[in-house]
Amino acid sequence: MAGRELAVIDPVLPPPWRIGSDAKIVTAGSCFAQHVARHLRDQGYPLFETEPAHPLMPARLAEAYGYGVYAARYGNIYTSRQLLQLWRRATGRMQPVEDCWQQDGGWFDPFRPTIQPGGFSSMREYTEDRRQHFAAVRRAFSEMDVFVFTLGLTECWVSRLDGAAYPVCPGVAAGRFDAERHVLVNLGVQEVVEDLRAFISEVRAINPRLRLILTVSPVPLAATAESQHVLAATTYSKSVLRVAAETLARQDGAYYFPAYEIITAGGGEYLAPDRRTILEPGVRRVMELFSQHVLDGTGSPAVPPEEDDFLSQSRRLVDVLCDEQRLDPSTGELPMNAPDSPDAALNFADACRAQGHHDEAIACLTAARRRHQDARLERLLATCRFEAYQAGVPVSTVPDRWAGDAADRFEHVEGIPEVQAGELDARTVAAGVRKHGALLVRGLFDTATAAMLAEGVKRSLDACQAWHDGGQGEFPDTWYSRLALPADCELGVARPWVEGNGGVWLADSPRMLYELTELLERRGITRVVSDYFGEPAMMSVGKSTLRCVPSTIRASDWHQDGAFMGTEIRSLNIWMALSPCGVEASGLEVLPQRVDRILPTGSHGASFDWSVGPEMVRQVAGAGGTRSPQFEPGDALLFDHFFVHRTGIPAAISRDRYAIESWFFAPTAYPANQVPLRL
Amino acid sequence: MPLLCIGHSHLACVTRAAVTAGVPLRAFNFWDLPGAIVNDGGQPRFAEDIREALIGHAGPVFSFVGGGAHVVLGMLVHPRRFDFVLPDEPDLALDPAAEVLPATAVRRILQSMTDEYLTLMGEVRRLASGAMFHIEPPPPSADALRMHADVPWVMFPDRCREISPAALRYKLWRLHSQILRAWCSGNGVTFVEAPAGTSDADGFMLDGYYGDGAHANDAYGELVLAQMRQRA
Repeated sequence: MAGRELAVIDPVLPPPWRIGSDAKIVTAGSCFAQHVARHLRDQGYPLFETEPAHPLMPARLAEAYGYGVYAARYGNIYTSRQLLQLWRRATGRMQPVEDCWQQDGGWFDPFRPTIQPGGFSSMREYTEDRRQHFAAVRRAFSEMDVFVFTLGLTECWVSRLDGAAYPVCPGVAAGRFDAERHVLVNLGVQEVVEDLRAFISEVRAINPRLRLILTVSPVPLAATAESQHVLAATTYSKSVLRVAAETLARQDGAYYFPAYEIITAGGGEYLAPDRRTILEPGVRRVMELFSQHVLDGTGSPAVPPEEDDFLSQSRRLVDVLCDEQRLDPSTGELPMNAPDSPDAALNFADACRAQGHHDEAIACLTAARRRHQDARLERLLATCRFEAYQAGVPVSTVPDRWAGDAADRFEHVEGIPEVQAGELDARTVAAGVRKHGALLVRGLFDTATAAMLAEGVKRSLDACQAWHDGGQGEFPDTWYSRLALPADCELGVARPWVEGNGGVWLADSPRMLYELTELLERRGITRVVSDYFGEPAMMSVGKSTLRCVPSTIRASDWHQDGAFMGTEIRSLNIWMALSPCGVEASGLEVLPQRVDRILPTGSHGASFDWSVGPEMVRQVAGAGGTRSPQFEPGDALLFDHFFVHRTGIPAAISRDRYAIESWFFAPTAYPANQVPLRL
Repeated sequence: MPLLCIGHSHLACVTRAAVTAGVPLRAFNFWDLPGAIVNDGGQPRFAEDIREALIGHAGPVFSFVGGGAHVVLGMLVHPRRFDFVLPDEPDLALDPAAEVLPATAVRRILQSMTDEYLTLMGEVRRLASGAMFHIEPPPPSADALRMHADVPWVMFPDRCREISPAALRYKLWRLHSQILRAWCSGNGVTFVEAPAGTSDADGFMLDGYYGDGAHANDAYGELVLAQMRQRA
């Protein structure tokens, strides 16, 4: 090495693999890891971010709150102990005793005390944020391809109660130091290796493709809590970390990148006079060699984040409303291009229907209805949705995209998996329905929306009853106005049965059909269902039902909807709870497993020829038994025609239950007798 | 002496109420006065005639400046749904489908949208010699369906056509009022809360005072007018 130019010193032994520009890279570690992250971004290797800043937050504000530094808002992770602990906390395997510090009107996370300037504003904010953060950490570590971890320190302060490791000494950034509760630990080689081995093993159990790159931070210690000089403490710390990294590289398949050696070889050229700060040429040299030996080709040019035009559009909207305030209502003109009048929209839609252009008619009527609450628009919309399929029955076949798909994100879940509404996508639906029989979605709608829909169900049922009581003359309003079915439509005979059992077809309430289709579209649910089918979803006339199950119900029967509709179909029911279900009101009792066939009916103690006998259900359920989930308003259960279920009747039943069954079908695998509606 | 009011669109319902009741009122409504606010080296400043009117007015001044930032931020659902925990009332509902943002960050965003209006309010305070009152913007309506019908969606073809959950809109209104209240407190201005009896137990505007998705109606304007007369 003597006499060689710094620019030609290259201590890197390349890894047996390279990082492609599409790899999901996650970085973590001490301050030096921030340099690594920044340079990777600059070279067009965007880091995998699972907790990105909200687009409403300007860049500086986001940075102040710890967004955009690493994959999630975990801040600097100085020690191997902290890393393992983060993973275990995120996966629920560790719950530190000392979990929150309250001081000066703020709530602080002891394990990332500077992540929120001034602390969290309330305990609830703290717990909500941590829930989100842990979900982001789980996702980052579960889905990453490459993990770059920079080992920074061996000294760490831990809790005497349970060994929980803090990033900095309690009392420095937040909290209060208490020698009775806090103690210094200086990790040795074996402890660092064991921490990282446990981390690798636990993460690889769910993410086997993980590749690990280790570096040792070249930044010397600023201070030590040991009774020795900081230079001696630095040598000890770096030695331990370097040996640990080498051990893991030799024995555990990790790759060691010699950033530490590159910087220390540079001496004063790479280190500032304070002997601690790594100068930019040093960082650049490290990343040049990283790029040369570890990255595959060139990354994609960095794309600046798209400007969020939400606020400018919202300002325009509020300006319109403010402008209207200025006008005299009796003479004012609308300061916008007003949509066509209802009459014009109805005429245009009729012309479209006559030419078989039902999609245009639906678009026109929908746009007009959004502006004008006109019953005629809602009725014609329902008719057009019905006629659209008849006008163009699909002839091709779209294959089932999930046939043979072995992916199951709920592999370790027993029974029906649960997700939050924000996690809903086609693959999640497929994993839940195809592997576990169903998927429970919490908070598909907020409670206010659920209450609004429940009110709509009540009004539809009341309008239906009023129509029957009034001699079945004119329909009272669009809460109940029957869809005109052809005289030879077999499905017509099922309608009185549905209405006699506390239900109304969704298609017979043009108002609710409009409200629900709009809601499903706005929430992106229609798109998820279509993605699941691999083709635009349609809704069933005969199966989609607004329903109130009375508190007086005392019996129900196990069934599979496929017994009525056939098995050569592709279906999805979104069963939406609109009132609390399962404790004081009926809910659903389910067989919590995937059943890929139609079970025998009319036997094993069954009450009807279409129902599955309770003894048969017991046999199939085995030791796992059946389940009766509790639903809050807005929760939903997603399942298909093979799912074995019945109305669940709790012992304390005393209230009516409001729900909507919305059955969707793939148009190319549709049960012919159910009559589809175009969405 | 007529009541002197200055500000933006929340002033309209009060003006109409004053006309109906025959109450003398002089209103500088910026929506009716193009050129009333000029850009002076990046800072908003009143046009000369308004400056003179404020300087020459000896009685109290009622400010309706701004008052829409919370509506801009939260009337429509953002494509990436967000919510936050209101520090003063942390148990208010959260949108289960939304990500929870730090309340202090939401406040900073709202503050940045309000800064220009606070500068204008500072101008009013500086120019007027009498007492100054700032009128709190009306509380939000809980009726999302009614608001939905008021939005000219055709102007926003790419937008998610959904009104934000009522709880979020309420929290933003509260946060917005906190910003205004704090500014008033530090600048010798009296903050006048929304008239009593105009909101329900949960703080939402009663249906009878609904104007549109962002404003109150003339009945509400009458009550604000009464508040002003009481203080004049």
